[in-house]
Amino acid sequence: MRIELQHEGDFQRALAELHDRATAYEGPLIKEFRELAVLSAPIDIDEPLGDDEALFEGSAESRGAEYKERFIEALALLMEIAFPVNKATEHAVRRELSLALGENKKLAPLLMNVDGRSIPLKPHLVGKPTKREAALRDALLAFLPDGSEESM
Amino acid sequence: MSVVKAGVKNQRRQASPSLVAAVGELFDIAEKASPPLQLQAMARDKLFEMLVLSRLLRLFKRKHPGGRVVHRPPVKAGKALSSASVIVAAKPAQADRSRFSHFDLLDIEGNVLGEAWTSVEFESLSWAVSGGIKGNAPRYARHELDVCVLEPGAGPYPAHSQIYAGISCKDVRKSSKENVREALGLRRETAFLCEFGQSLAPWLVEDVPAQPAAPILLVSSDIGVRRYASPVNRLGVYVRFVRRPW
Repeated sequence: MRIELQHEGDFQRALAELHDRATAYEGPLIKEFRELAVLSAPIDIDEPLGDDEALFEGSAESRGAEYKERFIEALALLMEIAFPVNKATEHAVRRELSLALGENKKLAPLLMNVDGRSIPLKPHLVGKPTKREAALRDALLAFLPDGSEESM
Repeated sequence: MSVVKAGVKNQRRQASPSLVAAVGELFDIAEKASPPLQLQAMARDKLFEMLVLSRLLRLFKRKHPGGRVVHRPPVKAGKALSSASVIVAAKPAQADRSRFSHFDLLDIEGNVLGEAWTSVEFESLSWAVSGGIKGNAPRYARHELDVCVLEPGAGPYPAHSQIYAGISCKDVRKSSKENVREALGLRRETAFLCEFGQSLAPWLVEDVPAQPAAPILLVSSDIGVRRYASPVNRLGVYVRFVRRPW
């Protein structure tokens, strides 16, 4: 799946969609959706200080950049809510750790020690997303910056 | 009715949806989500720590061609568990070699340059300067590092001077200033501020304005954390964004 940007104002429209739906949300994750509503709120236009001053709206370019920046932050939050850490994440992290160790053999499922008992992480994580959901997620990930290992 | 439904379904399955349609579909998924249970939240946090640890180890290897990272599984009664089993502490704990895994960082000649651990409590600088005896710090004089690099052979509760690098990991939906304040607290309790000097973990951050010169990192899964990167870097606190694998 590939998401096409069709118009110049796509980020603004997507933000408006997020804002409308986030403000209407009622459920157990109300705190997160309120945060989303704030992140996706319409951009305020600066009020003029004097009567003779023209309304300052900034250049179309700078406003476009701000919409894009806000969209990225709002999308990142919505992605976190929609796709929590799952069993596939455990597998991916284990693979990364195995690569870091440079060992040929695979690591066993990761364990955490809780009060003297070793408990595997995997059974406590939610299931993998469906193929359709994963395709949507991967397509939207293209809009988010990559936190590569170089950034450490 | 069914025709309308089929139409909507087909529209949603189109190969190249618009951004607005895709975001709407994402919202449909998000609004069905529920808050995590306690063990689920704990597992999620641990996984992020393990991810940050992996990135740290990979960075070390990249900066030390020919060097190695060796997993040290827990050793009980002189017998090590399988090296394939990585066991980490679920909550703040000692650097206990009989219960938890750690990772030796070796240079090309086989010298151990540090040990990487997760969830280790260290004895604070304030404990040391108030005349506290090493190894006797009470709980309130100890602080946790989610991921850290310690001096080789450091004791169960390392002193602040035995920390080579400390990382606060935050797998959060939205980072806050509180996260930065926590990292600044770790900065305060691990070293005195001073002019820039060579880092105790130069492969991670070259120069650190602290004595001992251990860098403190705040690593978050939220991209928004990057807004806090400066000016705290001037105090030896380094903010990083690490996107978790999906």
